[in-house]
Amino acid sequence: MIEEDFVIKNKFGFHLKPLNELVRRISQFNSSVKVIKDDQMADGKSLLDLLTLCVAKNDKIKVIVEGEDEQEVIKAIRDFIEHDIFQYDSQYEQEQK
Amino acid sequence: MKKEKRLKGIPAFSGIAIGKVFILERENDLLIPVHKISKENVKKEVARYKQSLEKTKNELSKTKERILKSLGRKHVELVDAYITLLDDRLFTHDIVRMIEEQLCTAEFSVSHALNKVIQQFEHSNDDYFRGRIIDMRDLGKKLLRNLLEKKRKDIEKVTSRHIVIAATLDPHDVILLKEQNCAGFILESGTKTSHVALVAQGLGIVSIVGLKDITNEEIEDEDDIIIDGYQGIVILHPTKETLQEYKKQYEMMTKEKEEIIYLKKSKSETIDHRRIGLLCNIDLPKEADKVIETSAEGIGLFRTEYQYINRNSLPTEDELYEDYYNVVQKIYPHSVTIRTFDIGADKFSQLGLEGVIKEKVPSLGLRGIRLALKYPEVFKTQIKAILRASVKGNVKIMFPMVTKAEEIDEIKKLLQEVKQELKERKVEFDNNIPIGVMIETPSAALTCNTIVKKVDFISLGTNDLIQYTLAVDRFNENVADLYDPLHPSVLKLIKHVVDAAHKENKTVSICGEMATDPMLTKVLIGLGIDELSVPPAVVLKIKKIVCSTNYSDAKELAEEILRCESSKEIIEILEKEK
Repeated sequence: MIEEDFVIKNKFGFHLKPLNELVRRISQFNSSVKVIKDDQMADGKSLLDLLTLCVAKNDKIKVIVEGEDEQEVIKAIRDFIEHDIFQYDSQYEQEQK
Repeated sequence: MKKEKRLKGIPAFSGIAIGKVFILERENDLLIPVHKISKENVKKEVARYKQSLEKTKNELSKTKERILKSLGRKHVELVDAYITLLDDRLFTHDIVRMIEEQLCTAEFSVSHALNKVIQQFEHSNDDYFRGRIIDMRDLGKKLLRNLLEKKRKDIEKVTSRHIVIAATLDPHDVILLKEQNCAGFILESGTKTSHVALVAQGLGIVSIVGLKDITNEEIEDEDDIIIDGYQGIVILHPTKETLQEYKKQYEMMTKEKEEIIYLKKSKSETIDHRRIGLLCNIDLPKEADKVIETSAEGIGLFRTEYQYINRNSLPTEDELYEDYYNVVQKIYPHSVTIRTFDIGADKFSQLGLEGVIKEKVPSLGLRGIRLALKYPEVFKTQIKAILRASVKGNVKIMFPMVTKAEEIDEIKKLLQEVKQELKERKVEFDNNIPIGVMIETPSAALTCNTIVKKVDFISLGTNDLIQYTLAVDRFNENVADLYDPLHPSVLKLIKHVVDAAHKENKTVSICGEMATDPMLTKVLIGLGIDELSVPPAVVLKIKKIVCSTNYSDAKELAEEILRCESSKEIIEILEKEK
């Protein structure tokens, strides 16, 4: 089992579009993924669950991964939260214009 | 006769619509009749639920196709997310379990499950997540409609005289309504930024959202109804007088709208086909959007002073470049003329530069190109940033406050050094970037024949040109009345500059306030000006005049005015022209 804390730094947080992609990536693995914000827990493979966590910028979350491919899973999540998610900000900003 | 009633909602797309009521679906059409089922019916109920889930997904896929076709990729992602959401555990498992274990009807289970989700969103302080409540309700409605087999009225029965009223609509419905040419719509749900509202804005349908209980009002199909999107109100059962008044407003608006659309489409040229370039002046990058909206042919003056004031250190090359490139790529393929900083020494000393002396008369002191040449490193940093932004080949660079031709030689030397440096850094730029100068002093105007040989274009900064020619500070109220754009000396200088530039086949633009005065447009055209650069807000006003001017008449007018001995005489002539 791996536990890792993250602070969400992208401007718009866990919006529908980036979450859709995150769930798609997590779902490719066998490990179970739990995401915890405050006292609320969500299934990392459920878009709706994650969406209802209402994760906004600067929110802290804890991710718990358990399973044979847990190392790969946590890396995939880390890559996404620390890099890939930012591309959605500019996309979103452009749309707002 | 029912009494006139006015209700306030949120305008999604402003405008006036006058029409007949078409009630698509009342809120209580989707009330859930039965909550519980008996054990033996569980299997049937689950099957019924799964069927309507599939059906809803299929509908959404069709919606997706349709949106792709009419609105483009940008709007598809939300529908995509809806489809993905329906694959979520909540729909595939939780609701099924509720039917099986708690013996609830599919309708009740769906609405219960979604209400729980909605409650979670309600806790958030973030507008975005609160906004998702509408999405959830939307999804719920779709499912319920299929479960209850409640057919809404057919949207294809809507015609151009109808104003549609419903509890909710999805983006797909709005597109259909547009195709039916519907006059407008009113919804109980929605906010200004909800998806339906955005689509209505995109398609330009007059609409009011967030008007709770409208479907429960005492209205019937084919009743008269008015939407006043400017005030965000809906008028039920309008009186004859109200109808009359709104019909008048509506006609006036349509005329204006048609004119604006026509002007945006038309070329900026005189009746006898002389092209007059119509460009914009901007002071900040964000104004570039307004330039595009107003259909101007690019930016004739991008002032860069904002990058150097209200701060205590110099901007970096990257910082400058980012702003330029941002504007340049938006305006592409049209051109952007970036003017290097034109600030006084007083502003410069705040940037932490040494050796700047306080001046008694800044307007006659170290400003514009003089300051730039005194601090070549600061100047070169800006030129570098401008060159880097020129990769697409649509950037021109312009220098302010030139008073003699030698200054251009110095500028060109620096420009060469910067180009060399960028080449060594292997940075791409437009090697043939056109360079121009502002003519804003009498000395530059009178020696324009020498200056123009050294540059690619000329821009007349009439504000300063008038100030220096007439020796009047227009912000000094003691002499402000002496500031006179129509002083014969000013017009003679302009004429002199235009002739000198045209002799060398170079274009002349005007970016001062003279260009924004509709009374002067014809005169400027007559003087031979090639381009007018004005604030985005007045582009269409000036374009209208350009398009209704005859160049040969304008030339005559200019000649007549050049013969005048006073501005009073000139004003008399222009008054007659009106």
